[in-house]
Amino acid sequence: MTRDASALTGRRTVGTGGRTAANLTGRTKYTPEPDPLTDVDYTGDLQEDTAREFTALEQGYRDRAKNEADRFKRATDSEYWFAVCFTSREEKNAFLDRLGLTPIGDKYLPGDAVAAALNL
Amino acid sequence: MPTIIKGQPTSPEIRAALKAEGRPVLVAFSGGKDAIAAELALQDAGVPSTLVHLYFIPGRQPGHTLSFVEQGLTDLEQRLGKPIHRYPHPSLYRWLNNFVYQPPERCEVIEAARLPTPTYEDMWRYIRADLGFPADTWVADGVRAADSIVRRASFVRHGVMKPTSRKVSPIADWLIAEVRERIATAGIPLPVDYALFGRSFDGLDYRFLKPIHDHYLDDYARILDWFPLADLELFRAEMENR
Repeated sequence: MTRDASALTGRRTVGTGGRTAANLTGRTKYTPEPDPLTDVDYTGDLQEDTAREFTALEQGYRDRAKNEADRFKRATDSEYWFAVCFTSREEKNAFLDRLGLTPIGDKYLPGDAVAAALNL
Repeated sequence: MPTIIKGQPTSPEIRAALKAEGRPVLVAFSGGKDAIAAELALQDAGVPSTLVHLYFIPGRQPGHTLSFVEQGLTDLEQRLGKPIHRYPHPSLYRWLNNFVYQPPERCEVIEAARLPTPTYEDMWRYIRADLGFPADTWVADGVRAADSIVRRASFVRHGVMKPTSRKVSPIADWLIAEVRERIATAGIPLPVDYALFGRSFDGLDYRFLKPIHDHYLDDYARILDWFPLADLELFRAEMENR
């Protein structure tokens, strides 16, 4: 039995205008959440199927919370750079020259450009 | 001495009519005193019945509800000698789809699930079909005229047996004393709901949340699993009572 064939879930509400989650959360670029009930394995027994839907909805909450935690970490993590220090300007310039990095910069170098220059 | 509902048959006549139909009825079984009395009255009249509980909060065990409600239902299953089928209450779908007590990040998930918002009548139609009962099977409840003037007026206006919605109230004319007496005769203790709230659990407001918070902390946590901002109901009340 598929969800749309189940008696109870056959009349699911779809964005009816007015009060929607997109409005509530104030997101301007709306990325729809995945349907948390997609993978529910329906049995044809209404007591069992409704319980499975609620279990899946709870998992949807957990997934959403985890995704948000991951996104927050990505957005706020500042540990994406490192510094290399020498004893003089000459030493630094010589190092950059030897590695062919001088054209990229002498203080702030994009990681992907350095990686390409070093054939990594 | 039962009350008289203008223009309506007495409850023994109603139960006799159900008995005469010679087929089972479903009982909307909240677990409250009126539902218990209705079931006992049907048993007394020899009307075969199947009990159905509509739960408000999904429990930690799928298909079950809060532990204190389960405790009452399990006890009643033993005392009444039959299983109580459990289905979600239409209010649960309505609360979720209206984002009741939901933090913003959950609203999108609920919306993505596109759950239905079944009416009470829808729900009983699905339950009849799921349990293999004919579509015109009566659903009996414990609603009584003496409960409130509104209920009495509703019986006078719409009847005690409603042929279209197939709802019937087999103890419609009982007074509270008759309900208590019948339950006492059967030796059935009322569920813990009555000690907690004075009635059966059926809402998310302070009357219910505070006693659950104070006496069944894990059930309170489970309510917050589903309705996280319900905690604000206690916060609001405490602010008002300062």
